[in-house]
Amino acid sequence: MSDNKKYLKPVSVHEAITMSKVCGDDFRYIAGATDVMVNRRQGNEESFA
Amino acid sequence: MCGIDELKQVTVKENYLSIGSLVRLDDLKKHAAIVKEFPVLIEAAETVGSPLIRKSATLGGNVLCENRCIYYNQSEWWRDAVGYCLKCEGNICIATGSKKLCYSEFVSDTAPALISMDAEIEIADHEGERTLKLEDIYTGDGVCPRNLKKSAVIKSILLPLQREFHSSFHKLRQRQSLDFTSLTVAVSIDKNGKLKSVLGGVDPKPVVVEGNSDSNLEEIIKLALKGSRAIDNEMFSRNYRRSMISVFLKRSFEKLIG
Repeated sequence: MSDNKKYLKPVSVHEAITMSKVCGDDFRYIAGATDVMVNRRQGNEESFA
Repeated sequence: MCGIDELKQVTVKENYLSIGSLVRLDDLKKHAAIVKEFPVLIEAAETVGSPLIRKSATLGGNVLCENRCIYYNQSEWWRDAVGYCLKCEGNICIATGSKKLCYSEFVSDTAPALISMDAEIEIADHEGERTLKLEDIYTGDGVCPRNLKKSAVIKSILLPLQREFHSSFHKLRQRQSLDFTSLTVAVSIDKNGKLKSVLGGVDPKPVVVEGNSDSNLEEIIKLALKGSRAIDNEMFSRNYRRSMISVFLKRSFEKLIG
């Protein structure tokens, strides 16, 4: 993936919440299966919400 | 998030069956407790997308399925030519001309089945953890159809055990093999005679009508039609879909009550 985003991979819900707290408002959870990567490549950021 | 194993578990918690949000739709039928107690959930899940999609799509993902509208689900090229709608940072609903309300439709197939069985949803966010009735996360506003915080993670869906549900599920769509719903009707009745009808595809949120085994069918249909704000924003007409609400509810009552 050629972008400047940093990807983190939590192993628990607690860790995911903690990671998102550290990032302030500048984060998105990625948990999708069917559309996420397609939208990501098209630059459709809203699809990550 | 897909590396979080705790979200992939199906477990019993007190009087509830807890289904992790990352359980795949195709895997629901592998769990004996779901097959025995909540077969309508499997029936609903099997109407989602195609077999290939169901092997990767999750229950949490389907519950959060984005609302759809024929004027919203278009290419950037199309939007540029026709105009941007309320749901796409525009200032007018192309379907109705309204400048206030977006009527994009709630199209999750599993959520109506879950809500009909009084499902709850376990959520964790920056403020802690809480459990809500599943229907309470839907706002009815097509632009922002769910009232979840950005930091919210759906941990699991909770279904009440030992209620002995009998359920019915109907889905109207153009192609039986693939399409999103044009109308979903899920009805469940428990051992105490509590009846819950839930409609999808005809409003920005699920339409819930509650009753009991003695409820009058015509009254249930009347309330369902009153609660459905369907507009002409998909392939089937508004009038046809509203007519089918009556048909599906009648079929459900025939199956469940006789």
